[in-house]
Amino acid sequence: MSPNKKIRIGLRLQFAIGAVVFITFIVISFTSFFVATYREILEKKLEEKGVALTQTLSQNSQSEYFLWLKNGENLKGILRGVVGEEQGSGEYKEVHDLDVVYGAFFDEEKRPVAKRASRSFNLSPVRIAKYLDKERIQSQIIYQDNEKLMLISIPVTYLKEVSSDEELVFEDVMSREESSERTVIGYAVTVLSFQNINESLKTIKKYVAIFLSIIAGVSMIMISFMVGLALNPIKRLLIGIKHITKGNYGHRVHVTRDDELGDLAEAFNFMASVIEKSNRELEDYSRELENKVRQRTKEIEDMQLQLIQAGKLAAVGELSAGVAHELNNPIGGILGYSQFIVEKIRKNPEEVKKNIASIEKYLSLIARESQRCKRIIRNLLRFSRASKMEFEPTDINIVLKESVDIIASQLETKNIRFEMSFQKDLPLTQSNANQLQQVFTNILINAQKAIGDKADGSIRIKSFLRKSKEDEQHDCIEVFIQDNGCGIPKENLSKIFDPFFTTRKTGEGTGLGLSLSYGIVKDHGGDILVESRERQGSTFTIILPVIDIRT
Amino acid sequence: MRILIVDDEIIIRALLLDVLKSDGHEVDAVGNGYDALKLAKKNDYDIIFSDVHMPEMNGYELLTQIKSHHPQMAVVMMDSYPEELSERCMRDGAFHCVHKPFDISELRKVIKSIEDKKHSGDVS
Repeated sequence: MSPNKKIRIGLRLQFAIGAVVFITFIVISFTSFFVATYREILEKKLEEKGVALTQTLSQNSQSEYFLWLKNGENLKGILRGVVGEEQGSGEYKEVHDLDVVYGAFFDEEKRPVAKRASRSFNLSPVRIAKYLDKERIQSQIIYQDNEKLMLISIPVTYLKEVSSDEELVFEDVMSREESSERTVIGYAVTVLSFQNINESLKTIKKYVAIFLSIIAGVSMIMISFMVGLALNPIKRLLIGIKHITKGNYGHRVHVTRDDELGDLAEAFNFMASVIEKSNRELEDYSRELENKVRQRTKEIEDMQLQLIQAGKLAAVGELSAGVAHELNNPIGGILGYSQFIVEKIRKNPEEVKKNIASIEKYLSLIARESQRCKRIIRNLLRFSRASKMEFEPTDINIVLKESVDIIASQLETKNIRFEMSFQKDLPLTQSNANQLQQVFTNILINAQKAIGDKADGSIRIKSFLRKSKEDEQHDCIEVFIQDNGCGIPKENLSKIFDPFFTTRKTGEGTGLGLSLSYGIVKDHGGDILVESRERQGSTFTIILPVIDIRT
Repeated sequence: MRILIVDDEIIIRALLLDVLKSDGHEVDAVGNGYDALKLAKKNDYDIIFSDVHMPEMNGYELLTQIKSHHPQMAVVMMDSYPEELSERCMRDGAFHCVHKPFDISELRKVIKSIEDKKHSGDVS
């Protein structure tokens, strides 16, 4: 489609990519929000559980009050159940899913009494001591080597008003308002890892990623499919347009949709039908026109043939006076000499016998003049013969000479000087000699008429071969016929080749000569040019292409 | 009779020379009007036979010139265009018109009538 080979991203792909980007954005935003919220919930839960665990520790240690006073060996036992691999057993079962990395008891001076650490927990007790608060339960986020941990500390209290040793009342420090009555004897501390949360969040993220990929994939496929569905009619329209462009106007697009695309297809089909209809009409018109043209052409050709013949006859008429003169001179000679001889023989046969040489001279004169008559008549006959559009190898110089012969007598009698310069060795060319003779004769008659009675009138006839620079096939024979007669007025120059255009009196010219000449030369693939100046003369140039005889 | 022939056609000049000389006339022949005028000035011709269509000077011009210089000279015109010839020749003072091609007897008749008129002293 596109002329340059640029990478093309189709509508389908554009939509799919757009959809995927959009869905990814939505899902990522949602996931971030969800994960953040979930993390918050989990952390809260962790804190609650951690506090509960630490409270349990605290309470358990309270019962061991006296142990506090000694050393932390028993407290260590408590811690053992919470921290490390043994966790999740006994009374800490409820918080077994907690990852407790550190558990410790501090005395009221915030000195560690007992501690137990799992993994590589290496925060110093001094640092932990900073987080301890006598007044309240502390839950702190602390970092060890960039690992996020939660430190929970609960003050361990001892109620002083004890009625008896057996009935010691231990109460949750949280549920008692009057904690001031209690003595803080130490702190229970646990440090929890977020690893479990992180892991579960990681799992969630993994599922979300898988889910996202599936959603993206499915939506891409769905959108691609839907866009494809939507594009299908457009594709069909495109194919339809290609068909119409190729001229296959009968092509229709089948889209059965009740939407804008359906409307488009319907409009397209309507357009195609309109084009088809008008094209059919155009074809009909052009066929009709072609027929008319063919018919008219034939009529014109017939008419032209008739015109050529008519023009010839007219030219014969114009020539007849000249021909009469031309013929009458030799006939006069023949007639006179034959009468003279007969007279001599009748009067004095003896004398004739003696002077047979003079008789012989007379007879040869008669023979010569008869030949002359024969030649004139032959030329005239050739000129008036019905023309056939037959082309044969022709020597243009011979045609020119014969044309000149026909009107020679008139030219001589009208006191017209006659100069001929023919290029020798003109190539023969395919042409109709009769018709060309008519052309030359017409132009010569016109030249003679243009000179009229003018003194020192002259007609120059020249033929030469104009060689084409490119190849021999474009060589032309050019014939100049130049007179120094009255010339053609400017306003008539454009009309001289029009049929029936004549400046002569009615009866003197048909006005067909030049128009026929023009037609004939055009039939030969040539051209006639005319240059003229009033009172200075005209030059007709007949250009004939050399048509190779072999072809 | 002294006769001048003016015609650009050699065959006509030759014929008239042969025929008229054998009839015993004194005959000259030229091919154009200028030569004819020169000879007419020099020699006193009884008859001039002139063609009409000739190069340089046509027969009518020659007729007019001859008539203006030698009004008594009989000029006989010869041409192939009968109607044109008769009208104009007679108007311009030609003695007669001969249509080509002509019989030699016709020429003789014309010469005879000029001879007759000359003897009777009525030549125009």
